Amino acid sequence: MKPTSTLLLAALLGGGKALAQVPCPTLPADHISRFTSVEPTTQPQDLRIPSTHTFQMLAQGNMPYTNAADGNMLEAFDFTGYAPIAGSSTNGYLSINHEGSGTTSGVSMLSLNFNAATKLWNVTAKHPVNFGPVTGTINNCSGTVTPWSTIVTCEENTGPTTPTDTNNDGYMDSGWNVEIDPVTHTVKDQNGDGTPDKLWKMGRLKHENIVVAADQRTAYEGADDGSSNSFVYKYVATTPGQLGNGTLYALQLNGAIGTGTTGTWIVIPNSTPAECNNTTAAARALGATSFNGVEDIEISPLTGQVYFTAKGPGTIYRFTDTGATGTTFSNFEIFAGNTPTNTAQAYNINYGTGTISELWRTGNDNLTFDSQGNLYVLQDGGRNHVWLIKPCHTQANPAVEVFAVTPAGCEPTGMTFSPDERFIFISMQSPDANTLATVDAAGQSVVFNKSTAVVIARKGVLGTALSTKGAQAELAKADVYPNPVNGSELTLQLSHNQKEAATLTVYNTLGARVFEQAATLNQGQNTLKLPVSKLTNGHYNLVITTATTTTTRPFIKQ
Amino acid sequence: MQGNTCLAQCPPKTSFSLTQSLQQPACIKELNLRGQSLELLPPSIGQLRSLRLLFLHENHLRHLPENLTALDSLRVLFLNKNSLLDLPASLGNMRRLRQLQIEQNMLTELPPSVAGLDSLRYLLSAYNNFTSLPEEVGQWNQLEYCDVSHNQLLFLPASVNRWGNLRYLYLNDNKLQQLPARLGDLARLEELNLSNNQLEELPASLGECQNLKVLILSGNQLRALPKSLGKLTKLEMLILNDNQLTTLPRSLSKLKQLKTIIVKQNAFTPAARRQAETTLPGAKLYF
Repeated sequence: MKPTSTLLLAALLGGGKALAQVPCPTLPADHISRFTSVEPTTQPQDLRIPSTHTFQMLAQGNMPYTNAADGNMLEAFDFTGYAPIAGSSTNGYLSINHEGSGTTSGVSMLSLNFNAATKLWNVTAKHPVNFGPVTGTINNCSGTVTPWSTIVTCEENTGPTTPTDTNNDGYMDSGWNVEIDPVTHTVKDQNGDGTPDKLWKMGRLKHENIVVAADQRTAYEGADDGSSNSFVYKYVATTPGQLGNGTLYALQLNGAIGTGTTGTWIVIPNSTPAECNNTTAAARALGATSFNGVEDIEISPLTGQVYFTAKGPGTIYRFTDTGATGTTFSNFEIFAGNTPTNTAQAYNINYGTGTISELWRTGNDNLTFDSQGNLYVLQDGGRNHVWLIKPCHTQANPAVEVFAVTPAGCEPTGMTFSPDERFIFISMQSPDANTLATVDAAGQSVVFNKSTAVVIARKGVLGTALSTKGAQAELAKADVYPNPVNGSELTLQLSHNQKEAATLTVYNTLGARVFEQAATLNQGQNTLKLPVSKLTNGHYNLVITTATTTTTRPFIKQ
Repeated sequence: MQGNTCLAQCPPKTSFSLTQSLQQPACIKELNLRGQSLELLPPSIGQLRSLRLLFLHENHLRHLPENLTALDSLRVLFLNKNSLLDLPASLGNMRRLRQLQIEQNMLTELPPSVAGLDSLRYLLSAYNNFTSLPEEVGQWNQLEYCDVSHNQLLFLPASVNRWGNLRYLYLNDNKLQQLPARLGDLARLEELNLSNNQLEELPASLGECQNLKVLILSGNQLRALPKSLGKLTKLEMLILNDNQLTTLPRSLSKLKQLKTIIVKQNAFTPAARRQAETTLPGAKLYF
């Protein structure tokens, strides 16, 4: 995640003592991170989030920009950062990276605000960021929202389209962090000469991600560069709030990965363009430790510890740092995921009506902390879940949930919170050609067949249709098929944990009830048939209501 | 619409679907099929004669259809992160190709026809199984950037001295035991990475690379450096760790731009370290 300044206020860097296990706080009933897990499955066609939550689609690939001359939004949505205006949780910018190739890399900047009456977000403008003055960008992967509400976008590759210094300014064209002013959707000038610059001093490498600490000086970043060059870096800006100049370090663990618990920050030369261009070679030569695919890196708001993911082994590490002035770190350990001695870690997931042992697999990627220390883990590999790990988690006593099962073919990317943590902003990158329509909190029919940015919140916070209802569990499994249906019957297959009366109601897109039928559900598997021959072609929602559950499934009649 | 008949109503120039592209083959300038689990590329791709950029990376391709090389407008071809065992024999027909990206495959050789790639500026071919490069690569006189790192190269063809426009050369993590004597003909070279090879000595001509700013020689078996390195007046970084060096040439003291020298894991005595620091007061030495 790219924490906002609010989330980082508690992120104190310091201390070298071993930390005791952090207790899990009891979250308020309406907290966004309080939920019953989604049942882990392979990726379906839709987005499955806790039954207490809902989502609204904000943008999809190929939507037109505000100015027609700018064309359409690119695909491959990645970092999805909410940058508040004056700290607002209802008025800000949404920066969406495009992790493309060739001419399909870039960043889109959306203006958006929350309407308290409709309880919906309105996207009021969409603009591409102009990277022309810095010879473009490539593979915009993840990034951060800085404590001063700008955006940093990370170039994941040191090529490839023009892997050289085409404008002869001494700096290679790609492989850098780039800071964006969301207000003007332009690249910031870092040296005061009136022209935009990339963040040369932070080094040229295969940047995956970055986090800037609350001191506005200390930043951490990682490289996704194979088994030999995936290093963790610390950057200490000379002046708070200005990333243009500073000292760059690489992490060197004392001992092998898995056994070393302390280490040293090695200074990496960055005083000349040639030195900045060769960050990776210098870090390797000076003995930095490679972690095989470093992805996201974040700071715990509870302890100030630094957490990072290594995608190759599927491991989340953490350590205690000594802040802007320190050159050592301690308490280095595996927090979650696979270990050298257990490469098939699994966690028990209680999804309300059952518990299943779900393999962690590989691919842990983006991280996002909420202010209570709950760590969201977005997966690129395995089954591409959005996991949540509670702060009390240990490998011996796991505390792991599944927040979302994501649409087929996509990688969940992002993600960020609004400062008040009522809203999550996240993208589904490049799903398959799915066809299932889902109705979102705004009543939009959403098909996850292209990159999609959504906002997620608890029901009652987002959208009015369901806002007055108390949170009620969904049925464990409820699938409708065929979908779209062009015959006379729609089949509903579901499982239930008890015998119970149910009502099946079909609503059209205007919310009008067009069909209703009583049924009795038995414990275990149930198969029900709905006559749909009299329905006109279009989108519908089937709502299955029992005394203890309310479950909605969209379908299309053709 | 077929062929050039679509000129009045061409769709957006970028496509993510080969099927859609083939419906309007003359319109598509950029086709991006990255990460689509492709195992075979249909020969029909040769119909996209207007294509300038073709992204096929992160698939499962093992071979390519020969008529891929009919794409004679192509400027950029990405084939990295596949399982390619070979390249089309007629690859050299792509006379306009400026960038060829083939890293992370299982290639063992380039076809001799590559002599025809006389527009090639960027070659990215790391992480393959090349043991040699054909002599014909010397024909690439537009080449600016060449990455053949992480292969099995045993030697370089002598013709590489004809890469007169080359600015960046990455040969690290190979099995090179010696370098062409006329390497110094690469007068525009700015970065040279030869780390993790089996070099015991360097050609004296290296000192003729007058634009060299970064020289990386770590992980070899070097016992001494040529005095001619003292002629590299633009050199800023010299990375030498993990060799068998006991001293640095005094001639390096002439290099006023030299700021960083990494010599960890060599055989310097304490006296040799002090001497190096005295000789190079303007540089930061990492022992």
